[in-house]
Amino acid sequence: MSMVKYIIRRFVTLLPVLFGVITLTFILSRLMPGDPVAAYLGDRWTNEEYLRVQHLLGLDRPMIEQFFVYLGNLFIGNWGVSVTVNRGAPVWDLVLDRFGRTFDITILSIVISSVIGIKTGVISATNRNNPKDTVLRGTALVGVAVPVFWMGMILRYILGYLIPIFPGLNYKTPGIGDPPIITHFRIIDSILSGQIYLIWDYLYHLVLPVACLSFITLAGIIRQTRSSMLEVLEQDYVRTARAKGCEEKDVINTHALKNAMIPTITVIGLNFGYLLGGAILTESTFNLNGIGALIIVAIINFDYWILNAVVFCITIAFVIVNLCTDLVYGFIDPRIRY
Amino acid sequence: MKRSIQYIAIGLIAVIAIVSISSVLIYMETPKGGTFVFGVMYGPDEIDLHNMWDSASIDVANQVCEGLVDVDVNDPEYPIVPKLATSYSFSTDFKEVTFILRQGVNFHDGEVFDAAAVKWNFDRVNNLRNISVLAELWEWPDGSPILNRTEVVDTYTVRLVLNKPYAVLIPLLSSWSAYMMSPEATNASEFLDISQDTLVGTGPFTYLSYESEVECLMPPNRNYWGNVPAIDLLVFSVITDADARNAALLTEDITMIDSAEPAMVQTFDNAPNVALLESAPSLSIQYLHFNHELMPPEMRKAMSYAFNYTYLIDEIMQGYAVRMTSPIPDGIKYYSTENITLADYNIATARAALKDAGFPGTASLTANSDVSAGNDWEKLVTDGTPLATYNFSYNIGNPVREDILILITANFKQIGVKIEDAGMTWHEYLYRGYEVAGLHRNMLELGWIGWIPDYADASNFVGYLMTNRSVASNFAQINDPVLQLWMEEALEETDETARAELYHKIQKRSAEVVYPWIYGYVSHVPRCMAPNVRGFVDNPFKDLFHSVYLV
Repeated sequence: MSMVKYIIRRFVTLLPVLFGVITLTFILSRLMPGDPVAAYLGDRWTNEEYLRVQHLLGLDRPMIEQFFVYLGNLFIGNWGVSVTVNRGAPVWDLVLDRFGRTFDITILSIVISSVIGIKTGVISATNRNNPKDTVLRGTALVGVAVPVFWMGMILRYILGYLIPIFPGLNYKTPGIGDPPIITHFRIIDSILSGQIYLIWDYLYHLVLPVACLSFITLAGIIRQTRSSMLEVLEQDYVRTARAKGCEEKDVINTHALKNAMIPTITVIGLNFGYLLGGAILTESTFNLNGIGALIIVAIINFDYWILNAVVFCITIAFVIVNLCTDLVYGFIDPRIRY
Repeated sequence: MKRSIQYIAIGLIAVIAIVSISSVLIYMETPKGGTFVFGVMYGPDEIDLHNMWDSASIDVANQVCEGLVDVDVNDPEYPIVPKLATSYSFSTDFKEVTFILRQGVNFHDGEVFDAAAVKWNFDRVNNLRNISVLAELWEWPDGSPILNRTEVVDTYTVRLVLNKPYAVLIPLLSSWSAYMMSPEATNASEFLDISQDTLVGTGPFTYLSYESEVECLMPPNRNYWGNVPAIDLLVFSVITDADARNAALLTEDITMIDSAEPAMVQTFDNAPNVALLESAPSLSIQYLHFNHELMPPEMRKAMSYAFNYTYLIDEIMQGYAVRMTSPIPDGIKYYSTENITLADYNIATARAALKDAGFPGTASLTANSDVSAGNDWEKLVTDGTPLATYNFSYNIGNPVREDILILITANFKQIGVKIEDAGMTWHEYLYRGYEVAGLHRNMLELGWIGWIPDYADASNFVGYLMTNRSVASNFAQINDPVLQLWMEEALEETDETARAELYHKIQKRSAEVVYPWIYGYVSHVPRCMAPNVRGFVDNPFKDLFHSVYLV
């Protein structure tokens, strides 16, 4: 099967997954104890207002009708309006805005942790059981063991307060402004509008959260790379490569690493999907207002529309990341066919 | 000659040194522009003055809009003085009040502030009253409107005509609900939508934008009729997480924090980049409300005497509070404790109240003050036969209220009452209190809540918190006909002496007969800010930033 056909097939299989997720989320959100109409109206209102808003939100209709109306609207891009976060604002805009921020943090964290993690894993494997390996394995263990929020607070305390070189909060300097919204991605929008200073300000604010998330994801990548490399380094073809006189760096990078990468790519892909779903604690620690923070607000305030939209987006993101991971396998190992 | 030259040289050096040091000192204290970032827990829910209720929205309104009158926060007596009006006078029957308006004032959109604008605003208050959350502010207890009509006398003179004399009118007009909005920029028949509309007032700051859950931007109004703010931009930065908000002040990401937790004050005091400003006791009363439908007065009295007030003030509030001694806080006119006996921590009195009332299970017990582990009263709870079991509602995540749960669990065990934890989200608590979303006040048996006044008048405390005439904020379901009569008389009573007497009687009966709540505390936690902030005037009414500057 060609790659194009494979991709198409994967997208087709995405549809029932999405339908299942939408249905399940819709049902679960309706089962939540709470009332979005009350959340919309605030703390004090009359029964007349309640009925008006209930009708406005379509919550006076039978549940099954609500579901199909919601489904129809979803696919024409009408995701409803938020009843709590920026009340009355289109959910689509809110989700896109938050998603762009989460995506930026995710991509930066994944790139940094992948580059460092793979390299470190290789060093650890090629120095098996010597002090260098012990130190690196110990570091990886710390990364696995340390709670992410604690790591965030420590980073904020040391690099934001004791040695104040990075901002410990927010994704931008208060009051610095925003680029005009074009793509919902701050970096791209800043470039398109020629406000380059906003990019530096943005990246400067992302240093600590990205460092925090990189450290946490780094651990898994190091451990996976090391164990795969150790397995591959025992293989006959590696011995053959050495026997035929290949330089050690070529043996490691060309013969061993490429073959050891498949499980590591899987770990990276899973981390990528997980972080796209919102690093809730990290976002809360650094007040980043990404997807994770949005989920919390939506749950606390019974905001069905935001909750459903976020889950919908996360599902799509997860499936796409998994698809990309599968495609990367093919580039790394040409023997893999689709 | 030589010596003269030496003297001259020394003199010159001294002069130069003095001038240099003075210049540096003057420069250091010279107001500079810059961004002032106020770290807040919540962003505004509303931007329409006629439909906002939450303190975050009101904080924004206080910077952007102004009313005809206002509290003078620079005067320690906090009198209400003319603001957008220059003077006012009542008719002899107190049914009309005429305002002479300040001239040369413009709204942020350039529209002129005049009598027609005032009439437009008060007409809107009355027209939207029935669908506004602020209905109660503008109504008599029977639901009839306070305002009859507004008349334009001339371009800068306007008259408010009341349906009957309302003693609280001037304090009411100092609240945000009577601030002025631009008729040109505001929809007359619908409330402003925070996601797309703009609040346009006459205040020292203009409303630029609100990015939900992130920040509200307010640049100074360069055409302000008073002193233009020195700062270049006022930002309300939303940081929901309390730890993150505290850290933000320490890391200088924000300039000032909205309210510090008592437990953090010492940390801030020790930090070189944080300055503390002593704070006067606020006007926000904090109390434990009973459920008067479920609890007889003897039980309320017993609980009032079983509560350890000293522990609350000294340990939980770490000394940054004073005990609340009346439903009307000290600082509000008609506050009184004269000849009023307050419940104090006295276990024997508490036990006697229950025993004397013949509570089942108390006949064999002694009304003593033994609080040693395993005493007979405590055993009622530990053995599973308490005199009563009540749930305690509070908003989870509030560290003070979580500590109070621990305190009352221990305190009330000493009178044989068992407390169950009923922590919930803030909204869930309010839904029960305001009886919305199918919930009811009877679900709240005990609860801890605070009240920040809408305006500085005794009626805004007792009138809302103890009335039986409407849903109001009477979470305790207090229903005392005598109190109700006095409260309603006080609203109409325009004679100061008579009004004072009524409120004294209300406070005395509350403390000695009704036991409406357990009086908690009034906090005075220092204000915490960056050390280069000057000009902030702490006051118990509102945070104002127009006089603030950075050095």
